[in-house]
This record gives sequence, structure tokens and C-alpha cells, in this order.
Amino acid sequence: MQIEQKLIAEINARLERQDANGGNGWASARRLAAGAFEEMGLPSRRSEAYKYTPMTKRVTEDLSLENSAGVVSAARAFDAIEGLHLSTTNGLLDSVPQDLPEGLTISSLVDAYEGNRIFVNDHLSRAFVAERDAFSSLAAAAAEDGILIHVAANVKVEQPIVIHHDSVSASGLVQPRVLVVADEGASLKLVEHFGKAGESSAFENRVAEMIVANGGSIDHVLVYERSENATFVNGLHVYQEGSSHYATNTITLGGGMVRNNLHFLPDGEECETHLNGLYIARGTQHIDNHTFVDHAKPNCESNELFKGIVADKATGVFNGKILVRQDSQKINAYQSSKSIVLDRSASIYAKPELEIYADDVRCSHGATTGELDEDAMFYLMARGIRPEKARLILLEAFARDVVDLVDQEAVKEYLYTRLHDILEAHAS
Amino acid sequence: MSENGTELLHEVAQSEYKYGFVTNIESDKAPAGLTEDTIRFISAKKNEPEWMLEWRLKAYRYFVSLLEESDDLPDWAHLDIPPIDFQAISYYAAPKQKPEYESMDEVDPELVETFNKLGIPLAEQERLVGIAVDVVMDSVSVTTTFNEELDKNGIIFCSFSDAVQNHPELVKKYLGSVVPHTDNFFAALNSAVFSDGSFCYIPKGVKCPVELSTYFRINEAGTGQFERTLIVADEDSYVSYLEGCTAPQRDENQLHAAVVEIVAHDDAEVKYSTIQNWYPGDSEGVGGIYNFVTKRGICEGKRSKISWTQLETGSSITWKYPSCILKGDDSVGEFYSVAFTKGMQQADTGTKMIHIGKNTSSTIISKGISAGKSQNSYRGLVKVNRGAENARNFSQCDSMLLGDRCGAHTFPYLEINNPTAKVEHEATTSKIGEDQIFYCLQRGISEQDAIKLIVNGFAKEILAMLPMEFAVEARNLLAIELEGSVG
Repeated sequence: MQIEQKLIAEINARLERQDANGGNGWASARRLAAGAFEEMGLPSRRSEAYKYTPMTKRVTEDLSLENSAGVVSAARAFDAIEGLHLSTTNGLLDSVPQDLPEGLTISSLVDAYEGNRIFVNDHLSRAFVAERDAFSSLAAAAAEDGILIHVAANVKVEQPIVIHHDSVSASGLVQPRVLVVADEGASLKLVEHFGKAGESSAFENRVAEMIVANGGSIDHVLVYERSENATFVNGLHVYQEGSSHYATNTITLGGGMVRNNLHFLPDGEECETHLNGLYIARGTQHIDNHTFVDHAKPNCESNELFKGIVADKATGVFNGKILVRQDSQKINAYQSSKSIVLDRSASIYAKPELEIYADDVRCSHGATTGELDEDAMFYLMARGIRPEKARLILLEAFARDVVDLVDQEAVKEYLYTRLHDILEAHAS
Repeated sequence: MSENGTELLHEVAQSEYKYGFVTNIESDKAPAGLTEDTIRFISAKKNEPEWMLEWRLKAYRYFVSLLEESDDLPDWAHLDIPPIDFQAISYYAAPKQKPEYESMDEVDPELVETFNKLGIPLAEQERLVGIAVDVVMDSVSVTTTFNEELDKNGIIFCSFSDAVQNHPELVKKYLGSVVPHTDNFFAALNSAVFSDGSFCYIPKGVKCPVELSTYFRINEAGTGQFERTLIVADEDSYVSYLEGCTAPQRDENQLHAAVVEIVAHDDAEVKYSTIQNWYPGDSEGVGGIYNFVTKRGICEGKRSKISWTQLETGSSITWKYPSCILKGDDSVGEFYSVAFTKGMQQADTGTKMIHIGKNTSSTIISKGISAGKSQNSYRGLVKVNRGAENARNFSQCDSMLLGDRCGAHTFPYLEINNPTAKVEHEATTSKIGEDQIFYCLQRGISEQDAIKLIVNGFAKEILAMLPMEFAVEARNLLAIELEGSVG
């Protein structure tokens, strides 16, 4: 395909330009990713992983790696959170924060590389596998810079790190790389917000890697609220060492076409992995959550809850896969996907998968799709509550189940309000 | 689990196929190879009318176009399928004489012996419940019993070839109407070369008084079996159809690509039960049957119902998705399945429920049991179309693992395009309960019996769906499979 050739050529030109300037960064890793992308090509409709999501439709011939200046988002939703606030333009830090708590490093990936090549190189290849997904490989090949967040061993950063992805280019592929590392016994909380950047038709394809070392902990929340013209491929690759804790909550309220590629590898014993998500798709939105938990080691636990509400002509997709490898005994893995279809022209596609090669495990998945519970509606109406109000109460309660799993009060409060506003329009 | 238990599981996983025998009946066999001439040969052998040959050739050309497109077999299933040389297979084998029997006494004693080895003597079944058995040995029907009883009710139950000769208008109307020749790779192959099979037509308002049954046997070394079954239930009729099979031991892999089509008109009900126990290959997985089956029913009429029940224990590779198209309003589809795999067996089986009409409902209950180094997958689709108001589906897929070298997998697809649909899917995977075994041991039940008991309890819900005589056979079969080599 022409578009792939064009992107590869642009990537190669960038790499050569960098070589000529002396600094080649993590060039070999990028070349590897570029090779993998060239091999795979963009996923077609026949690709099983993108069966229900025609992502390639969004990749037009004129798409390029070049970004324009960012379009600034109108409001910063999470300003109220007490924490360390960062803002980005096209996925890169606007400025490096000063006076960080001891043991916490936040910098651009290039600066981090200059400071400690071995560290960056080591971590860049741990969670991410070039052959896994074409979009992630494309981002990994193209990204010249990104963000590094690193917490040193046994340091617990109490205040949440809040990244406002405020400003984004209206043209071209925005492909930053994010690396978050919690060393042994370290912990951090990360909140990311993708605000409504004007009416920008941003195409963001990012690759984020989060690595939790022995006994470490990362809590992550991502709220995506870009406009209906925006496209987002969210490649999240998580690598966990033993006895670590990782939790992510992916809330998708905006975007025209969104694909969350969430990949988890608990590669040590006694790991705990929580992956939760909520999406509300309206208008012609298409939101796809694609999750994969790879239980490679025994004695681990994973919990997964994804909920979705689709209205108007929107489409919701959920594909959740749990793999338990041979000899990964004593795994408890639970997955649940629930969705509500509000309108005739809306669609839900769900594919919850279990692939189990060890016998001493407890794994289950459940998936339901339906209308609001008639009995619950009746109960509320019997108490004098008007149908539209009753519907709103039930829809909000349905969605709040996921939001309640977020442990940042300010984020929760904000989301409650947003849910109320969005769902009110669909309750009548 | 204790040493003993592990040993037992090991034994189960290793146990030899109990039904390994070859019945020596002369056969008339086509040379190996697949060309247009092969199709003409089969068609001529069966003295088929021109339209039938044309239909076969159309399917053949489509199959060839698929082969030209790609050398590889379809690879979307969770199966490791060795390459199949379609030119090395003989596509036709028929017993030389075609005797007609009035009673069991006239039947070739060797054939009776075959059924005795299967554990369910034909004579016994006849005496007990009066089943009409259309025995398919290799590709041609050998005997049809109870025709008189069926005739009285206007029921047509005959071999597919007879149906082509005697009821061409029905065959022409329904053949390929549920599974067109372009449906999939193996359906295309079957449509081109199908040798024989069963045809069944239940007229309006008739409840078939006996359970119709066909025993499929693969008998001739090196022949593939390409059965085609067509069941048409006219308005307000009912039929229960039984299919069971087992095959002799052999060294060569055998390809089986059957097609079953069911049409249910207004208020009709079809219950289709299967016990599949073909040769699964030796402990290394060599020589077993490749079972690639396309089974589909359409609930064409209002308030019609199609129910699939299956017990899958055999074959080295099973690729099978008995499905229901719920086109008529208020129609019902059901799928109940127990799949047991051991040794090197691979099974990828499940169903598709396509909701098209209003107020349709479907139920899927699938139990998978894996032992040894086997891989057992459930793959299913529940699709609710835009106009399918008030569709209801419930799916439950449970897997049990006996041993730590096998795999149990679940791949459900749910596609919902209507807000009034209620679709529920749940799946669990776990090993055999240690506390349950402990409980049994405490009460003096041996570990071996405990495992049998627990597995039978796990599958009970499904086995109970089988017709009575089949249910007994199914329980025995499952017990034998678990027991290992113990006869």
C-alpha cells in the first residue's frame, strides 16, 4: 500500500537526518519497529484484531508524520487535583517541572537518553514488542521524543502526576512515546487527560510503556474527550515484575474513532493487575477496547471490568483476551464486559476470549448486552419518578460502577458531572 | 491431586481407541484424485440427473478457485491442521451389492458384529424403541428399516441418492438453501464430491413417531467421507434425528467434510442429536480423522425450533459449528454440547445463532473437557440483526481441565445491532474440584470413580438432552473414554 511506503520513507528520512546530526537516539529500536511495521502493514478489515474497527479508513493518503503547532484545549478539567501538573503539546512536555520530590524524574525521553542511555534502552524494549500491533510499531518507529516518568526504588510519590494533553496538532500523525517506570518498591499515580482541543481532527497514535519492578505499584487513569473529528490509537504496554500492582482505568468519552490497545504482561509471581474501562459512544463515534492479559507466570490475579453505552449511530467494540500460559498455575483471572444499546442504529460487538493452558486456574468471563433493566425502571417509576429521570438514574448508576474504581476524588467528581451531562441527553 | 489421580489422568490421556477395527466388506472404489472427471464419475455412478451434475460442477469450480487463491487451508480456527493433499484421496467408495432387508436376520452378519462392537446392538435398539436406522457404510446406504411405518405417515426418510432419483423436486428446492456451495472451503468440497447421506422430509402436521437414526461408518482405508444430510420439516411437524459415528483404526489420516442442512417451516420442530466418536489417532495423534463439518439449520417459519445436541469425543481434529438462522418470528434455536478431548486431539467447536426474526430466542450451553495434550476450543457467534426485535440469548461455556498439558479456550463473538436485544454470555475455566474428589474419597469412592462421577455430573445437563437410548450410550462412552484402556 502506498500510504505505508510513504510513512516508511518519512521515518527513514528522519532517522537519516538524525544520524547526520550525530545523535541517533534509540535508532536501532526504531529501525526494528519500522521493519516490523513494514512487514505487517496497516491492518485491513480482514485482520482478526481489527475485524470490527476499520481503523485504516482514517489513514488517508495525505497523512504525514509532520505536525503543525498545537491547537490548545479550551478547559483544563483536572486543574483542581492536588498534584504535579504537566502539560504537553503534540504529546511532548511544554516544560520540565522543577522542584520534584526526591527520587522522581520527569523529563523528555531525549534528555533522559542523553543522561542514561542504558536505562532508556533497557526499558524501551521491555513492555513493547514490535511485532504485536502495526499502529504501535508505527508510533515506536516514528517517535523522536516522548516523556519519561521514573520513580526510584522504594520511593512512594503520594501526589498524583497529572498530565494535561492540552494542545494537539490538527494535521498529521501525532505519535509520542511515553515511558513510565516504577522501580522496586516504588509507587506512583498517573492521571492523563485528553481534553477537547478545539474542533481539532487530531490523529494521535501513541505508544505508552509502563514498567513496574518488584513490589512496585502504578495507578493510571486516562480520560479521553477529544472532538468527534479526532482519532486515537492508544497503545498501552504494561510489564510487571513479581509482587507488583498495576491498575488502569480508561475512560473514553470523545473521539470519532478510538482504539484502546491495552496489553498486560505480569511476568512475575504474585502480580495484581486491574484493568477497567468505560466508554460512551454517541453520534457516529466508534470506540474499541482491545485488551490482552498475558499470564506468563503463576500465582497472579487479574480483574477486568469494561462497560459501555452506545447511542445514536455509534458503535462499541470490546475484545478482551486472557491467556494463561502452560505452567502458569494458580491464576485467578476475571473479566466482565457489560453494554447498553440505546438506539436502533447503534451496535455492539463483543469478543471476550479465554485461552488457557494450565489446569489449576480460575478464569471466567461474562458479557451482557441489553436494555435497561425493566424491573428497576418499574421500581423507580412506582415511586413517582418520571421515566426519563428513572432512565438517567439507571444509566448513571451503570456508568458510575467503573468511575467508582478511580481512586482520585477530584477525577471522580469531574466524571460524575460529565456523565450526568452526557447521559441526560440520551435518557429522554 | 494425589499420585494416583495423576496416574489415572495420565492413563486417560493415553488410552487407546476402543473401537479400532475394520469391517471387511468389499467395496467399489474410485481412483484417488480430484478432477472434473472425478465429479462426473461420482455423478454417473449414482445415475444422477443433469441438474445434479451441474450443481456439483459449480461447487467443484468454486473449490478449485479457492485452492488457486491460496494453497493454505482456512487457518482462523485454533487448530493445527497438517496440509491435506486433495489429490491423494479417493472420493467414492460403495459396497458392491446393495441388498434390501426386511429384518435384521438378513443383514450381513459382519455388519451386525460391527454394531455389537459399538456397544449398541442394532437389534436391541430396534426391539427396545423401534428406531428406523438408515445405515450408511462408507458412502452408500446399506439398509433402511421401518420404511413402512414412515410411509404410512407420508414421511420420506431415505438415502440422499434415492431422494435425488425419487424426489428431485424437493432436493432441487432445498439443496444448498441453508449451506450454499460457496459457504466455506469444506462445504464447497462436499458439494462437489458428496457421495451420499440422508434425506428426510416430514409433511405438514406430522409428528414423526420414531426417532430417525443414521449410523455413519468410515470403512474403506484411504477414502474420505463426504456425507450430505438434508432435513425438511414442513409446517407443524416434528422430528428427532439421531446421528452417531465411530470409525476403524487406520494409519492414514482421513478427511471427513460433511454438510447437514435443516429447514423448519412454521411451527415445526427439529431435534438433531449427534454422538461423534471417530478414531482420534494414536497417542502421538497420528492417523486420526479430520472432521470438518458444516451443520446449519434455518428456522424459516414462525414459531419453529431447531435444537442441536452433541457429544464430541472422537476425531483428531474437529471443526464443527452447528448453527441456527432464526428467520421466522418467535423461532427458537438451541445448542447443547459436550466436547471431550484427550491425547493429541484438537477440537474447535461451537455454534452460530443468527437472530433475524422478531422475538427470537437462543440458548447455548457448551461444556468442554480437556485431558492429555489436547486442545479444546469453544467458538461461537451470537448475532442480532437490526430488525430482530426482542431477541434473547443466553450462552454458557464451561471448561474443565484434567491435567496441566492441555488447553481450554473460549472465543465467543457477540454482535448486537438492536437495542431491545438481551444477550448474556458467561464462561468459566477451572480444573476438576479437589474438594469434590476429597469428599468422594472420604466416602470410600475411589479416585477413578470420583473423577468419572464429577465429569459425568459436569456434562449431565447436556447428556440429559439426548434421547433416552442415546443418553445411555453417551454416558457409557464418556465413562469409557475416561477409564482409559479399561473396556
